[in-house]
Amino acid sequence: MDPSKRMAHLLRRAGFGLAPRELEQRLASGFERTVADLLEFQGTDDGLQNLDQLVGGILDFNAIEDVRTWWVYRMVHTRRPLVEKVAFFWHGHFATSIGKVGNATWMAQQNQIFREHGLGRFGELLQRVARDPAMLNYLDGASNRKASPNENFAREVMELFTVGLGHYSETDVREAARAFTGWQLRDGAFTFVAADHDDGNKTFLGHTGRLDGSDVLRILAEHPETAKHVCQKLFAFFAYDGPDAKALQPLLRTWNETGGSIREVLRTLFVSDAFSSARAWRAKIKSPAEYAIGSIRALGGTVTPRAMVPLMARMGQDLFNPPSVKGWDGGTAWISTSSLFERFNFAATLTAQRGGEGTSHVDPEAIFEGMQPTSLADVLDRTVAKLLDGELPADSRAALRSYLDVPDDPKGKPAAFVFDRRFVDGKLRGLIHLVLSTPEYQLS
Amino acid sequence: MLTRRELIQGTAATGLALSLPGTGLGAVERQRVLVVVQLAGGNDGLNTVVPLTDPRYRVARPSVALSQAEVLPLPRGDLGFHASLARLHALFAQGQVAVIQGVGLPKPDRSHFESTAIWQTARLEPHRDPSGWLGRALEQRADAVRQPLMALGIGPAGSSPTLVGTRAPYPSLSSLDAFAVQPDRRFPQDGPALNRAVAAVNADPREDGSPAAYIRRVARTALGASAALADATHDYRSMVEYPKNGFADQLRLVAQLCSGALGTLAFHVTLGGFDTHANQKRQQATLLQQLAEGVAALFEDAAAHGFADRLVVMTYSEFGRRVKENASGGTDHGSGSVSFVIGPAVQGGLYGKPPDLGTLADGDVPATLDFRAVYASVLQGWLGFKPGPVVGNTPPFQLFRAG
Repeated sequence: MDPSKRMAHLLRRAGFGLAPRELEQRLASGFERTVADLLEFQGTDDGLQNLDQLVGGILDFNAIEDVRTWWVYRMVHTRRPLVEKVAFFWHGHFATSIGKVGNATWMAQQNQIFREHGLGRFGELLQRVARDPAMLNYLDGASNRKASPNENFAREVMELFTVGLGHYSETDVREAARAFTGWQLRDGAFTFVAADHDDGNKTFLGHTGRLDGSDVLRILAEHPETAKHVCQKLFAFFAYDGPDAKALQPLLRTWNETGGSIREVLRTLFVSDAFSSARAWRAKIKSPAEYAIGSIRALGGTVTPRAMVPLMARMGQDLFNPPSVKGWDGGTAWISTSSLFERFNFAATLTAQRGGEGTSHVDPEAIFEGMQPTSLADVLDRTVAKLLDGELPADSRAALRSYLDVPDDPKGKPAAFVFDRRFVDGKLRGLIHLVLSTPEYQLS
Repeated sequence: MLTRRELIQGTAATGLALSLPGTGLGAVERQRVLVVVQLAGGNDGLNTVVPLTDPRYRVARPSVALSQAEVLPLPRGDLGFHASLARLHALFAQGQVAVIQGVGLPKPDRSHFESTAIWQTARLEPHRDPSGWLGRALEQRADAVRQPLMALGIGPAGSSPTLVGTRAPYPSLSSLDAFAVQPDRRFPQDGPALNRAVAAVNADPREDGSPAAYIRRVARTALGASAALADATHDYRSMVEYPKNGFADQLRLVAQLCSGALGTLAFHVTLGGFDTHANQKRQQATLLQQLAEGVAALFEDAAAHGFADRLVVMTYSEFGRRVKENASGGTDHGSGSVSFVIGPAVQGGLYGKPPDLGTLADGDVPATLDFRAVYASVLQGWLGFKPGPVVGNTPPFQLFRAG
């Protein structure tokens, strides 16, 4: 892969795509240094202090719309893109929905766990998520009592979060549910109520003793099937679906050597040949969040995140409201006839944001990074270079060229090319709308 | 706003326009329609059709059991509908509701995802082949590939796995307005060029198994269906007031599409939220009311448009719930539940065995009736498909009135 293409690929996967002029800067650092910068994010100021000052003021975390707006703003503007991408990954893995939880503050708190611990050790992350108010509510852990166990969390923590289906029995579900009894919420915080805890002997996945919830989570975090399941999911999310055992081997080795460090597993993945292979490039269908945030970032300007949130929901991804505890299916499930139209129409809405300073607007000419195009062919080449890694089938390129050649006044004749306000406002916005509607652009 | 004509011209230019088998043809106007309603999350069958005289019911559910006042009795006296189902209860009295009791998977699986996948694929090992039972059934029609509107998933959730065929993806839509490529409002004259270009970048028919080929195929279906839908639904006006909720909106769209004689045989709609591990009574009452009032409005609207007699609604849910309530005023995942098959053409009444709280399986009402028998009955008795290739050799039973 040539260095520009490889860098754009890395930033699509480990972030939400490149902003205008970002490619140059990243290339100056080089690939390995960029990977290190993304992983060791503490060295980069996230640049979001202004946003955080709004929380409690114009951003009211009692309202889920405001929490969504806050997160979308972070994804678009952060200088620590991998932190947000990893939070996004864990949101899909430990899927929790406002629809059941009904408490937006708890959803924001859980999101903060993903941000602060998402690159740390898996075992630590799991212990925190299991005690998190949103999760205790979502999977009914908080109402799991000795006298009347509720198995919901015990089942899903194994089926979806750790070892996966087929690696536990119904007896393990019941025994784990007993171990978690007494984990409750008081005033919105985790508390252990000994009177509701079953402290009898339990046998869980071959371990016997007076096991409690922490023991169960530790056993699960250290289980070899958890390493496989989570590494496989990380590989599929960041590189490509269906990796074989050989491709997963380096990730598993790192997991075992580092006690399940997500940061180190991802470092191993990003610098691997598999990550930068032809098999990985354009192998993933962008989720609506990746599609929307990536497009907003690429076009610069200032777009009201609050306006983008419902459009993402219509494309099939309502943040903080996954369809089930399994999260979003992803892949080809993102693409239905109606969700494709929603993408086309998102592209139309985005490219039509043409307010002035201080109101919602995109700057389509920002993709030219200050160097004016000299002809329609040049406009097309550079747009495709910026938004599609320069690669588009010849027929599609010809179709876009035909679109540019049609005069915007139906009775008019093609005039000489002038890169002026009228061209940018009409044809260039239309061209970008079309590029965002190509099959190739739906791919990451 | 792009006109319908321009839109169709935009797609016709690249040969994507659909030839509509429907409009004006008597055969299509008499087309029988099946609306499949998914009650997602696992609907508690025991509190839907209630064994109100069985003392064990109240013993097992001190706080979740419905009181006499919260149940509408059926003529045989020992069973009753949840009071939120009043509108369905009225249809039952008219002989238009079949109650399928004890329906479920032959081998219970308490995972939402596994159970849902088994119901939707009608395969006990659902991960080998992702095709859905209706998707496969529809392929028995010779025109299945050329008629992408033969089945439609309705709602924001996207296409239901139930409607996934082995060859053709069936469309899904949340609203008609959202189902077309719209140009920038400032440059409406740009519409035809834009539509031509969107059609052209998706025109390459080569199938190489790549995600791009998949997206192009779905896009071609979408663009063709968009033009056909715009044409067929132009004149619909709903004749009744639908309740104001997302589920009723889905059903109104079903009525609109049926009225257009598009030749759509099957719809899949979803009402979610039945995973009542806590505070079940309030939650389930709201949902069942949405179900009954939405379905009743659909049939009223259909009657006013003259197609109620060619409409059947069936409900399913991935599992029922435990007999014994949990500590949170809810119930955990169980096994057998209840399905409704509704419509003027249905032979109303009770089917299957009523739940016997004396013989539980692992704390659950067991599934005494294989879910595939319901599919077989609907496929054979209503849509006229051979059930065998779709659901195996589970025998169908008689669910519809003769003639």
